[in-house]
Amino acid sequence: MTKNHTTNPLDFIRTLARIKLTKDARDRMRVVLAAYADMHVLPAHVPQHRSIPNLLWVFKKRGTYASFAALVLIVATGTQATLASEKTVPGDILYPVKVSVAEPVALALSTSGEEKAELATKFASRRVKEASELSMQGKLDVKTAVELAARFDTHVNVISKEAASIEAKGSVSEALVVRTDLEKDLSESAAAFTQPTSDDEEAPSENDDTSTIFTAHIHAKTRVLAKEREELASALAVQVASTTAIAAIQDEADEGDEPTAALLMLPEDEDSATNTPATSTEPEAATERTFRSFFFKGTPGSGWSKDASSRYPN
Amino acid sequence: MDQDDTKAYFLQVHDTYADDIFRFCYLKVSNRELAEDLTQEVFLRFWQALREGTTMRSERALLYTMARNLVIDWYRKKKESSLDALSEQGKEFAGEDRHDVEVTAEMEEALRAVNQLDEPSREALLLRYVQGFSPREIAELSGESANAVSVRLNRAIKKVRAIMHSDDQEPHH
Repeated sequence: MTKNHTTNPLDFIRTLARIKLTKDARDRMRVVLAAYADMHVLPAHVPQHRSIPNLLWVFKKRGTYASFAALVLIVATGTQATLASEKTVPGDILYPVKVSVAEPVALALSTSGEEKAELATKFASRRVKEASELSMQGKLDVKTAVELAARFDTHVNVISKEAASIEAKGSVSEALVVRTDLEKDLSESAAAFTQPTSDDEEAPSENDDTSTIFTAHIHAKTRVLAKEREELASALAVQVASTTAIAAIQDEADEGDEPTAALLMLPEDEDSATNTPATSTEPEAATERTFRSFFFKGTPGSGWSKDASSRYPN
Repeated sequence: MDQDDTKAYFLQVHDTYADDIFRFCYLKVSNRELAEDLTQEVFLRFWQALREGTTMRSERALLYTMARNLVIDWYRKKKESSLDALSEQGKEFAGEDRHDVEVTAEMEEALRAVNQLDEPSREALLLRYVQGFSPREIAELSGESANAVSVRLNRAIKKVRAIMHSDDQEPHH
């Protein structure tokens, strides 16, 4: 201490308060934190961990133990009834078996979040397809459309919830895949739906109105999801833009923004739009194939090939 | 609060406390880069706390608690990886980090003085006079009684004064 300085030790120590982050470091940190906050969004609600023991809860909530009786019946008679119920539409005798038993059971039995989300996506596009079929047959009344839309929303909520909890676990890229998958699936289903009503001039006008409202609902929901997905994608891009796998996902996601144009070029969907309910699983299978080929194989073009369809039989 | 509001609040908290937390970490680990990393980690954890709906009396108290725990963890890890490096900890300010932070001669002297204190006294002193904590707040952070902290602070000040005095008599380091 050769210099003159204050003899007060406290003033002396207080000089250390001048230690600061550089503006650069501060700004950099702020950007990282903002991206992190975007990536790990606040949960909309506390995630519920539901699993197999809560199977009965599914029925309790619906207030129909009759469904549970149906489950017992199915177990007793093998899986024939559930399989038979797969292609039913509202109004069919086995339709309640499908939506109140087969699907909730499948959902409750799936263990991982990704599995749940994938199932819910499948169910959501089923609802759209059912509406599409009824509409083609001129049987889509307002009550059924509302019911289908409500069921559709329930499925979408399951997907959002699972995507959110996957995100919460830090697996942003997986959450992005779930969201992209959902969005793509729904866009395509919705686009497939619009096809028959616009082409089929014999369809009753009331039926047309109902399906228009239904389609608008699906489109609106899909748009919300697209926005969420974009936010997630951009947050992810900040952090791991260099990962090629993610780049591939984003490319595909961008393509998903124009589902109608993409869909109209696909012969499979034209078939399904004009055919009987027996072939109605075709677009669903096709969508699943695309999902798998896009996200797991990384070969977008092959998704529609015959090879792919034999690899992933529905 | 929704996502946007919470994010805005979060960034506001960062703007308010980033320097304080950085300084706190820097004075403990005496390495700029490491202190920056620790500071960032503190805020990432703070966001997680917001997400989990952690109840907090004050964001400042929570931030310092997180920073303190992170530093302790870091020392623990360091101890595991290198035992002999530990003895040198906290005594490197005037050395390798001279260019890290704009450290004036006056600050260097202050650092040298406080670095001769034992860690609890050093922490209490820096929190009190550099970070502006009250003895009660320091007590909450360290888990001592406010009275114990006050006693510790008085002794620490005396000691620093003695160090300054002895330095005055022996100008060479």
